[in-house]
Amino acid sequence: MSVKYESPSNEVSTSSTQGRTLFSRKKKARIGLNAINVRSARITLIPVFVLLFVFLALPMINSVNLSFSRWGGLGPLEPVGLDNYKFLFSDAQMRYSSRITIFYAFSVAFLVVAIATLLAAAVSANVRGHKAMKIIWFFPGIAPPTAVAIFWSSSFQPESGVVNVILGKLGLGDDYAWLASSDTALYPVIFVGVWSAVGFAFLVILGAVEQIPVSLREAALVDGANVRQQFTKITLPLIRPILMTIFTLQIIWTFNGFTVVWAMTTGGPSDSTSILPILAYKEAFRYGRFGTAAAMAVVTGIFLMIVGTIGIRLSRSEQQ
Amino acid sequence: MKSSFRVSGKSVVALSAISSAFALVLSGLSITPASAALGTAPVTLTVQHETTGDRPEEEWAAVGKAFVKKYPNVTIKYSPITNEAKGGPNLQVLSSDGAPDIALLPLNSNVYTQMVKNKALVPLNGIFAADNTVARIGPPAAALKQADGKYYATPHVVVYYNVLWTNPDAIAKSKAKIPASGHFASVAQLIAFGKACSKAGYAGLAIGGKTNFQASWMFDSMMPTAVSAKALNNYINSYKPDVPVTAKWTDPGILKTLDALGAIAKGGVYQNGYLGQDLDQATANFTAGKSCMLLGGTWMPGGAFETETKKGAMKFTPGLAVLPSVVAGKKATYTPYYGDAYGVPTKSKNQEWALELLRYFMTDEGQRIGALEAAGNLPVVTTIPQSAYTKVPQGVKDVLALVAAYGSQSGWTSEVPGAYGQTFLNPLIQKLQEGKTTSAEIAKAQQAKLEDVRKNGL
Repeated sequence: MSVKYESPSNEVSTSSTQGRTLFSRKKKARIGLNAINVRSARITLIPVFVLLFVFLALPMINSVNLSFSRWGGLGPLEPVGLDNYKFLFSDAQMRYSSRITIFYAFSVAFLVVAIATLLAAAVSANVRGHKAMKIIWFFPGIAPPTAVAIFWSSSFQPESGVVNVILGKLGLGDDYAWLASSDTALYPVIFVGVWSAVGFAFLVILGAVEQIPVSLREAALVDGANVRQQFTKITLPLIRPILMTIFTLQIIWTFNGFTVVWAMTTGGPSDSTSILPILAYKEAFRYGRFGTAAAMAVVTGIFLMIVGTIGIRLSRSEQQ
Repeated sequence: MKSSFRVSGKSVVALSAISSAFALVLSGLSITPASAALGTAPVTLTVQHETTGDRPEEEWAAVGKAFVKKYPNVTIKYSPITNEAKGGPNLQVLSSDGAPDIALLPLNSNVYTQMVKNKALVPLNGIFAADNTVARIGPPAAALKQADGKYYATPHVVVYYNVLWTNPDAIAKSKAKIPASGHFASVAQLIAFGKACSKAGYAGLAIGGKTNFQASWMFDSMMPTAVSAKALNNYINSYKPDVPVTAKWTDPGILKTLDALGAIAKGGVYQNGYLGQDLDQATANFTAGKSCMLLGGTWMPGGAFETETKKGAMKFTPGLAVLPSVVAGKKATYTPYYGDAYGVPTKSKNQEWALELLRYFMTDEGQRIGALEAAGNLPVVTTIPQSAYTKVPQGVKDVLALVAAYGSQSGWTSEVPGAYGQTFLNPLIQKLQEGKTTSAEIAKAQQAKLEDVRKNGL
């Protein structure tokens, strides 16, 4: 937060002695007032800094400290230096989990942005049922993630699941057990991740699309641009900063997501959907290796900070 | 001089009154030995129990009611926790200032390991000494004694898992063969059984392959048929650094057991999609009549089976079978589990009262009104005659009869800490079931884990 002060020179309107005296008094008064304002601002900021320290800095410092220790969840920490990090970078499961987490997060983010953009463009173009679509597409976003995961987990079951029943009625077979195979279990999870996140992205992107001046589209129309050209040459370039922001946020949210994956697969079968947050949970609460879990959190945090920084920079450069 | 001793009617009445009063005092003391020390000030005790499983809610409610009747100044609050939380995140609750007075402690979990290691549990030696509890429970109690000679947790019921519940109607329609004794003689026989069921449109055996325990359950029942008793004992205890390793995980008995588990999975015995289903889904599959068998335990007849039968969804009375042995001539058995025990955290604010409640919970009276009558479970103490098992469902009684006939064998995953045992092995067996690893690789990984645990601890 910054406090801006008006330049005292703006106040000088005369060169007379009287004027200088007046300026001098005003300047002193203003300086005094500013000093009080600055002091007040600093005092009022103290609670914010205390809260930030207690709820953000302290846990982060603790996590970093924990990542250099061995701890089973109780008792004193046992310093182990870089052992936890060495374990992380040499562990095959960690490497696998990192790969699938990145794949999962980027897939969900890309699909969410793509689908939400197309939906926003369609609704903005007043396609039939656009009012209902605004509401319908937002519903998945407000449903509790656990309920969503349980619903879809049941829906993907062979024979009795809704998805298989529909496929069966279409003559495509009804015995697909996607969640039971480590080769396919991640795809239903990605689908549910997209399904539950697209509503929020859609509303934000729709807001951006509707801010585009109508005159631009009308001008394009006069110049003979068709709907696709209007979308690719006008709409997309103008909403790109928003898309970049949503894409970045979605990566971060999905990367840190736990509930949907846990409720659908608990990381299985055979750890094939153990994305990093699930692996960290298992390390801490099932194996009692809180140090390794903390090291995972630190590495993940650094990675996401880099992703976030790149995302913000790209978003800014698009705006400029 | 002849002395005479005459007892008058008044003396008899007086003596009777005195002896009755004395007996009353003595009996009172035997029920409430600590009542004087505990006082009569109002106290609220918090008791943790699991939300599902062997109906601990009913069990505690009945015992709590009786306890409050004895001690009207006591109020008992119950704090249910989930199956997932009890073995993991609950550690943070138990070590916090908000710890319950009586804690649920799965004995093969990191929670129990850490609580014992850090002396965060109140020793229960008083409870184990009172009422002859060690002898009343038997060998499982002795196994709870820690290296420091103290007890920190007490089991309350015994459940048997690895029970194969059968659907006689589906089996008859499938013309699948099940041996008269209920024991599958070999893995091949079980696979043939599964194939016959599949052919008739039923799953052979429904299991919750997604859970963090069912893939490794069968290992508990089948492994003892492939290794010697001495080797089994070593597998159970060799994670302790002071116990020499005499049985290796790469030994043939283990490899044969893992091969058998792989063969059962490959043989199509389980329901389609089992690795994506939990035990509830597998149970629903069975109760709906879609599978010939279900891998479960003794909590099911009084739980899901009863509920589904009342709803009309379950239209058959389940029978029993036993998993196959790995080596011909031996018989696999059901696996007893004493593991969901209770203890008193040192963070409990009412330790004396908590100990008294737990002591009462473990008396024959507490076991009878709680485990046996309220929940229909098998009490952990052996001093209640089986003639009193009137509320125990028939299916559980049938299990007990098979246990009496063929014995039972503790499971490796129930005996060793989860971080070394079940939690580690279960995903590996899931991989084996998928055909993504081999028995040799699992054996090698488990051996490496053993060496790591012995060297670095848990």
